[in-house]
Amino acid sequence: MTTFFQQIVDGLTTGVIYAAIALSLVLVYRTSRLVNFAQAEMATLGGFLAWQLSDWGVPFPLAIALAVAASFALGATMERTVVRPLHEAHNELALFVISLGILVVLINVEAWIWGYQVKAVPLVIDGPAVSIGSVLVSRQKLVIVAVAIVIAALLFVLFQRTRFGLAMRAAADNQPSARLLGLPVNATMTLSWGIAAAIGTLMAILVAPQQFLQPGMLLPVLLYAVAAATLGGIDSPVGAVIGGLIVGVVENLAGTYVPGIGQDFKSAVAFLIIMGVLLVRPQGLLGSKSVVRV
Amino acid sequence: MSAIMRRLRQPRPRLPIPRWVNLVVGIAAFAYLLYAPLVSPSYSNTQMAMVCVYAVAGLGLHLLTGMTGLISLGHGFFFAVGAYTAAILSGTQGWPVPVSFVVAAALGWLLGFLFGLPALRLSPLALSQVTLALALITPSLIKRLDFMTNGSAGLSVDVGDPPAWSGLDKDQWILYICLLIALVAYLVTLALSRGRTGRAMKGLRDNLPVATTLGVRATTTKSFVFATSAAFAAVGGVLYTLVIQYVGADAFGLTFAIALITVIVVGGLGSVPGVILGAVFVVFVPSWASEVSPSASGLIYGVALVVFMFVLPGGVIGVLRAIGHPVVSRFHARRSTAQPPVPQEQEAGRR
Amino acid sequence: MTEAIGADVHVTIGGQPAGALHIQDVRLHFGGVTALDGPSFEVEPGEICGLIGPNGAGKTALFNCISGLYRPDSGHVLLDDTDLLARRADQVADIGIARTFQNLGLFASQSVLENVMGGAYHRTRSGFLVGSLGLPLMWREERRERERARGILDSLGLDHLESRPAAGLPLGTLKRIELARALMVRPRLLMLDEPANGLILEEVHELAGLVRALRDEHRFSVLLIEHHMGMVMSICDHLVVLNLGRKIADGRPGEVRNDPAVVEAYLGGAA
Repeated sequence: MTTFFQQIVDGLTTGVIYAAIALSLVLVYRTSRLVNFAQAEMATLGGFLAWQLSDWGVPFPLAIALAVAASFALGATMERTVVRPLHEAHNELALFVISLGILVVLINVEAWIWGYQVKAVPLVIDGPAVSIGSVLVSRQKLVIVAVAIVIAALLFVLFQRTRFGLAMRAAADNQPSARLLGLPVNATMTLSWGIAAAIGTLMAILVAPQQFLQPGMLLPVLLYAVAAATLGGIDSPVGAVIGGLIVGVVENLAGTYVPGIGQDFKSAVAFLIIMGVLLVRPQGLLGSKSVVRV
Repeated sequence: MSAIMRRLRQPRPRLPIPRWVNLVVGIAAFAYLLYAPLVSPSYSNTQMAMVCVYAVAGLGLHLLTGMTGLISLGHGFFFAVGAYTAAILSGTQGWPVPVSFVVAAALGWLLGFLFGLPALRLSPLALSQVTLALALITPSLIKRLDFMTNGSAGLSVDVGDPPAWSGLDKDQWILYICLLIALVAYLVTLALSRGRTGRAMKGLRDNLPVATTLGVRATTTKSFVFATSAAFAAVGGVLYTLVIQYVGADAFGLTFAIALITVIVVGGLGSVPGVILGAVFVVFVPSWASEVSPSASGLIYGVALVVFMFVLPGGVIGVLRAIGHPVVSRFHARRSTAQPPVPQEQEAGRR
Repeated sequence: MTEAIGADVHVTIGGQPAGALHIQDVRLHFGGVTALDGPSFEVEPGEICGLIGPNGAGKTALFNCISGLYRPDSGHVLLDDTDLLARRADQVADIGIARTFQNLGLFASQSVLENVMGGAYHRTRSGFLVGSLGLPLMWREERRERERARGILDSLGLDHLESRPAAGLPLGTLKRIELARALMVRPRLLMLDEPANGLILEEVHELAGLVRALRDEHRFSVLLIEHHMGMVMSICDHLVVLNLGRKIADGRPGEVRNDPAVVEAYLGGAA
C-alpha cells in the first residue's frame, strides 16, 4: 500500500511538470490556434540560458530571473514576427510546419553552442527528502509544486480579476468581436506567448537537475503535455492543470502495475490517452466544443 | 508585410510548358539515370539511392499533406514497418526482395487504414497531436518487439548479391531497383494528383463542406489517402533497408518525420516534381553542412522549414516558375494570340 | 403555378425530371438558438422559387439542411419521393441537387476548369485503384467531363479563363464560375445563395436574365436566396418569406409584396 501512495505522490509531482508545459500549450493555442510543438524546446533553451549565466558567475536566483525574462522576450518576439502574419492569413498548416522548424532549429542551436554533454544545474533547495506519513518527496519537488501553485494562482488572478485578463478571455473566445469592442487583442496575443515561454523556462530550470539538461531534454515531456492539454481541453487553462495531474498519476501507476507497459513503454499511455480522448470527447474535460460554420 | 515579402510569397501557377518539351526533358533525364550508375563511384550511387528512398516516402506524404492538407508526423512508423518487413523477410528469412515490396506495401496500406479509421475522424489539428504521439512511441515500440526486431541492437541485413547475368556491382544493382520503384511511385502519384481523385483531395483541403456537397465522401477519401501514403512510406522503408543494409530502432522517430516534411516543403508543397527536388535537398545539403559542424546538418532542416514556409511557400519549384515565367510566356506570345487580361480584384471563396 | 411550364409537366435534362422540393415542418436548434422553427412549403418542378427574409431568418440554414450539411432536429425534406434527410451530405449531388454558397464555395488553389469539373465528381467512377494505375477508364471520363466543362464555360463566356487559378479573379466572374460548376452537376434542383450579392446593377440584370434563360433551357427547379428585390421580383414564379426561422408568407411575388406581415418584418415596426 505504501508503494501505491508513493506512486500517486510521485505521479502528482511529475504531473505538475506536465501541467505547466500543457498550460503553456493552452495559452498559445487560445491566441494563435496552434499547438506549438516547439514550446518544450523553448523551455529547454531557457534552462540553458540559466545554466550559462550561473556558470559565468551570476548568482543563481538572478540567473533564473534573467533567463525567464529572456524567454518572455523570445516568445513575444516570435509571436510578433512569424506567428502573427500566418495566423492572420488563417494558414494553419504553414504555422504548424514552422513550429516544427523552430523546434529543430532550437535543438540544433543548443547542441551547437552547448553540446550534448549533460549540464549540472544546481538544485534551488538541497537536503534530505521530506517524509509525509510513509511517503517520501524530495525538497526540489516540493518547490516545483509550490511554484506551480503560485503560477496557477497568479494566472487565475490575471484572467479573472484584471481588465487585461478579461481582454485575453474575450480574444480567445471570439477575436473579431473582441477587436470590434476595442480590446487590445494584439497585446494579449503577444503577452500570451511571452507568459507561456516564461512558465516553460521556469519549469525547465526546476526540473533540469533530475531530467539532465541537454538539447531535447523536454521532448519526452512534450508528449505528456500534449496528452494533458488534450485531456483537459486544448483551450482550457484549468483543464490543462487537471489534465497534467491526471496524466502524471495514470502514467506512473500504469508503468508500475499494468503488465506489458513497464517503465520503458510508458509513452504508450500518453498515446492511448490522446487517441481515446479525441475519439470519445474531442473537446476534452473542460474545453469548448467547436462549431462548424459553413 | 512588405512588398518584397508579398512578391516572394505570391503563388505561381504551373507554367504552360509545351508537352513535347516535358517529354524531351523526361526522356533525357531517364537516359541519364540509366547511364549514370555505371560510371559513378559507389558512395555517390548510395546517395542517389537515398534520394529515391526519400522521394518514394515523400511522394506518399505529398498525397496526404500537399494534396489533402493533413499533417502526419507518424510516417516514420509506416516507414519502419516497411524497413523491418524487408529486414525480416528478405534478410533473416531469405525471401526474394519483390515479396518484401508486396508484403510491405500491403501491410503499410492496411496499418495506415486501421490507424486512419479513428484518427481521421479528428480535425487536422488533432491528427497532428495523435501522429506526434505515434512518432514518439515508435522507437520504444520497436524495442518492445525485440523478439522480431532485435531491439536497440538492430538487424544487419544481407539480401544477397546481384544476379550474375546483370554483371553489376551491388551498389549499382540496388540503385537500379531504387530508381525503378521511384519511377513507378512518381507516375502513380502523378496520375492520382491530376485526375478526379486529385480534385477530391484538393477539394477536401481547400473547402471540405463544399467538396462534400459535390459528392466527395470525406471520411472514405481521407482514409484511402492516408492508407495509400502509408503504403508509399512502407515501400520507401524497404528501399531504405536495401540501401543501408541495417535497421535500428532510433532511425524512425520524430527526426525522420520532420525530414520527410522537409522533403515536401522545400520542393514546394503540392508539387509532384518538387518532391524529387526536396529529396535531393535532404540527402545532399545536410551532408555538405555537416562539414561546418555536426549540428549544422540538423539546423539546416529547421531553417529550411521556417524559411520556405514563411518566405517561399512555393518552394524551389515556385522559384523556378518565377524565373521561367518570362521565358515561357515570351515563347507563347510569339506562337499564339495573347489572352485577354483580367482585372485582379477578389479573393476566391476561402473559409 | 408557373408561367413557363405547367406544374404537372415533367421536363427533363439529361434524362432526369426536374425535382419538386417538399419542405415540411423543419426545425433546427443550435444550443438555445432556434434557427428554423418549422417552415413548410413546396417548390414545384421547373419553377423559380425565391426564398427571402431579413438577415438571420434561417434561409441559409434551410439550404444547409437540404444539402445535408446540417441535420434538422425534426421535419421532412423531400425531392420528389427521395427523403433527403435519410441521405448523407455527399449523396445529395447524385440525387440532383446543386448549390452555390453565400461567401463563394470555390477551391481557391484550383484552376477554373478544375473547379467546374468538380461538378462531375458524383457521376464519375474512377477511384483510387483506377486513378493510381492510370487505367483507360480514368482518361475516358476525364476527356468526357473536360469537354462538358468547357462547353459550359463557353456558354457562360468564361472559356478564356479555364487555366487561370480561381484565386484572384473578380467577384462577378467567380460567381459565374460557381454557377458553371453547379450546372456541371446536372441539377434537378439548383439552389443559389445570394448570387447577386456584391454585383453592380448591370451585372445583376445580366445574372437575372441568365438564371431565367438557363431554367428555360435546362428545365430544372430553382430555389433562390436573394436580397436584391428587383431581381427577385423579376424572375421568381413563387416567393417564400422567412422571418426568425418561421414562414410568414408564401405566394406569387405580387401578392407577397403587399402582405402586411412581410412589410412588418422588413421594416420592423418603423412603418
